[in-house]
Amino acid sequence: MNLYKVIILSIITCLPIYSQREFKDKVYDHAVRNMNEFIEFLSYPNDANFKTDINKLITWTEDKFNSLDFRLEKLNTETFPLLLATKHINDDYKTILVYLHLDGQPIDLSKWNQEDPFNPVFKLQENGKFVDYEWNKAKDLKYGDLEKNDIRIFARSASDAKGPVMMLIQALKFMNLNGIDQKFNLKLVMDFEEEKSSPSLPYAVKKYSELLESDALLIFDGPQHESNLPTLNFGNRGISSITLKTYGPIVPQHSGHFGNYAPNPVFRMSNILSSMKDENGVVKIKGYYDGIVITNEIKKSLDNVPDNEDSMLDKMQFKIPESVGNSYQESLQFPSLNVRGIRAGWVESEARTIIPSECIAEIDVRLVIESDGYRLNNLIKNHIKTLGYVVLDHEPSKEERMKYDKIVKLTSKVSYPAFRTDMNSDIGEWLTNTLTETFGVKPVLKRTSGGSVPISPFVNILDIPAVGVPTVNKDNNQHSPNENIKIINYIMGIEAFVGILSSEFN
Amino acid sequence: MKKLITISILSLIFSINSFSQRLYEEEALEVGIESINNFREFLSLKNDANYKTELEPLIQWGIDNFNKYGFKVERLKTPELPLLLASKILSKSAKTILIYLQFDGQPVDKLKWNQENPYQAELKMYDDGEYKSIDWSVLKTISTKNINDSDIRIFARSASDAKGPVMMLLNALKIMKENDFKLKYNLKVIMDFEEELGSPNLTNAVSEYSDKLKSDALLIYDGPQHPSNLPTLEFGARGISQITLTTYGPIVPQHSGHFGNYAPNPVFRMSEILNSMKDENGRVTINGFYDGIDIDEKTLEVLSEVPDDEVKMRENMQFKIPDDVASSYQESIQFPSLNVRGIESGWVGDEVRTIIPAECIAEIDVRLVLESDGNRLINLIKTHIEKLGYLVLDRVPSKKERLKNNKIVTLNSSISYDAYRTDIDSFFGEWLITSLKKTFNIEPVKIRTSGGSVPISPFVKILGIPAISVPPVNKDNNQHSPNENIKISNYISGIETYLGILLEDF
Repeated sequence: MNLYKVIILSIITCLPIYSQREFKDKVYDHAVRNMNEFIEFLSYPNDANFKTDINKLITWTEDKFNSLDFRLEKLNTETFPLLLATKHINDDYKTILVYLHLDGQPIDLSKWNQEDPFNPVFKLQENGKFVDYEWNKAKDLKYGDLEKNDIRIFARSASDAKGPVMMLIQALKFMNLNGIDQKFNLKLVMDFEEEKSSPSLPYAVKKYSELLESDALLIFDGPQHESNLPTLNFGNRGISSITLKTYGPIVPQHSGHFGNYAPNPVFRMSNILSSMKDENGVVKIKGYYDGIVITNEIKKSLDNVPDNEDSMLDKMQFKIPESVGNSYQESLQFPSLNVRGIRAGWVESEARTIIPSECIAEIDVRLVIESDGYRLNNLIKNHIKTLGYVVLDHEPSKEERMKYDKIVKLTSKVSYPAFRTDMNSDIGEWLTNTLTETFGVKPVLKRTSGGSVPISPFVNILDIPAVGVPTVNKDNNQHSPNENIKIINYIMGIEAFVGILSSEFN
Repeated sequence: MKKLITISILSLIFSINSFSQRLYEEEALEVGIESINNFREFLSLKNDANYKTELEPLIQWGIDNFNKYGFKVERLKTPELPLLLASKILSKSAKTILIYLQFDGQPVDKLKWNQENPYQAELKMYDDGEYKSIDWSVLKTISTKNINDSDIRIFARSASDAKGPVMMLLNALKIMKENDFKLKYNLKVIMDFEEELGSPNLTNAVSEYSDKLKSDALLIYDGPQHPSNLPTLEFGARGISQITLTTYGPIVPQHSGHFGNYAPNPVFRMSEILNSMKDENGRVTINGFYDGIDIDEKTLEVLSEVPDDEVKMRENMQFKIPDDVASSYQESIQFPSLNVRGIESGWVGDEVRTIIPAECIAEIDVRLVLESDGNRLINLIKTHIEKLGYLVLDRVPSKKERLKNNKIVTLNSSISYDAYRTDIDSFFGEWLITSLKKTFNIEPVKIRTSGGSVPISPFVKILGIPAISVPPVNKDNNQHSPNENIKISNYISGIETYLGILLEDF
């Protein structure tokens, strides 16, 4: 046993045969040399609404991890399968499960500044604008040049989350090429419908719980802290969604002939929405924030995050944030209530002089561990009822429309609850130390990240702690047109993953 | 010679009258059915004035078809699309009637039509709860005896609004020509190709060409008959102005997880604004919005004579309680309206994305009555929004403005045309009532103010003439919406109406 530890220690010390600078340069050279692999990966369409595209992507992924000596298994579900890739080193090692997702957000082509979001484009930021950059001519760039110049790859999923997948692939390749050993057993679980809220994941984790059994879960997804320092996420908010529909006349009516007579569904929706929040963005529905206590100790750890809120406001160009929390970090400790889309009739050049027949509002609610999604959905439903609406879960029949003045259709879904791991837990301290060693700087420790990852099934069913290791730049336009990743983040992500994979976990 | 013709006409009229209570039904039917191919060709001409270059064939069609009946046709140039003026002058001493026609149509949202091409007319018959395509040859079987037995309609963009009325007038002229009937007054026909855009150039054109347009009265051949489908006269129409509101969130859409509870949501802002404008019963709560409108006893009586079946209207439109602006449908039209015709922010349905949208756009139209000046109402709305604490701009805010002001809205407005109203008891009014009574042997429905807007006030104001609408199409024509249509029976009765007017001494 002792001997064993000595061997392990000596292996660990293998890594620092490079100086930190040397290590960085080697990773950098490797990443640049293999950039085409990333570009190829980004060119695979990955909107999970299109089955054939996802099937091709699955095949690509299987081939890739096979070539890295992983054992691949398809975990079939009612929708897309999950892929499980396993690299078992020895039975004495602990096993870490890594969650990756390969699908991406849908695309609204007209809003992108490039022809095809699946044909990646390199761009350099110059005077606040991104101009095309010829990567092929940039072979002579050094690591330091990237720290000074903001060069990015623009493509759907560049950051969310093909970027982290490719960082891991390159980390594994780099370790193979340089004889660096993996210090724990590794299981990768790859999700192909994360942007559709992973409908089959809870079921799959339950069904395949033995195959997935492990000691801890790492999530390789999401943006680093705004400061772009190495970051660890100890929790994520969950997500549930609500679709509301209000009704006017059964078909759109001429606004001249029926304006002042036929009820307008947009005013109805405005009535509902504006009743939910005060003008500072605080939810007015009773009980919405129940159970959340921000103690002094929590406040302190939140304050340790080096946010520059002035810069955030400046970047997003608004004056005053919503006043749910006293700070950005604190605001993430509470559930949100967001209208992510609304639509009725037509606007701008398509505008038509009608009274619309219906108005649809799409809401998402980000959950924290203190707030149960079903409880919040019920609070919202009851709130709408108190406004005098009949709340249905189906399209109203003619009979219902004639019987009730105010009708709303409400459908809701809890995609996944929140999770939170103690920063002082074993896995927490191990990761904090590893990243500190790799980068020579203490990572930013985030108690809860705002975004949602479908992690709670793992946490709840496999009963393991989970920590997120986000790597991409915060300003990556994730979920929006012109998604991108900074090359420097891509390189540092590989460094982080090499650091983690080569560090012993007990 | 002249006497002989008069006698033969009288005998012809007499013979029609002996078969039917309607004076011209037989001839209108024969000529109307004959004209269907020409109507179909007319309907196939693109007429969305947003695509100006596509409209030349339509303009040429107008010229050719009025030339056919001995009209002198000239283009009245405007900065955009021209107006056409067709004139047939008997003598300088005779009175002159000006007829307004509209050639352009609403934009088309093809996906929502139940036919492949809204510009390729389809003949459909109501059968078993839906309109089913039937062969055009069915039209040949229609007679005055069976025309009301089945509900047969032509479906196409502008079938009712307003290529149908154009065809009716042309058919009436054709009957005049074939029977050698003589016009009783000078006739001028003004043809608008930008009505659905709010006739942006009409006011200037009426001023510029006021000499050419000089006449004693104006008839508007557009719009639906009363829902009873009885012959209808409209003595006024509401005007229309429009407002576009834009509210702002983060400068680009943000991930709703990372920034929900922090970045302000433009939909909640818009909801706050819209909700503050009306009470839950649809009544505008902005101070002074309904000022100046006085519905006296006499007016109430005129309004109550209109044979509305409000229970049926609500059942058709499938809502329980109308907006609470007035005590009846007719009365509600005597007030200005405030309608949200469209709202859009983010994405909904299958396209939904988990974001905080960057902006929310709401399109409002305000229907005006004679007592309500459009500029005054728009100013009331603007001041109202300012009172809610918004900085109201007429352009997109700069970064500096965004960072300086918490609540910003962009308000763009325009007044397309004012309302008009002609006295029902006026000479012109009584002349028309007489003509319709003769033609149909029934008292027409007299509408004090029609809800819809026609760009008539420039004529009324600049030319100083009274105006009355003679709407011929079926009310349930899906005007301004997908699946626009015209009932064959209305197509025929419209020809009768216009023929009767052409034959009435003025």
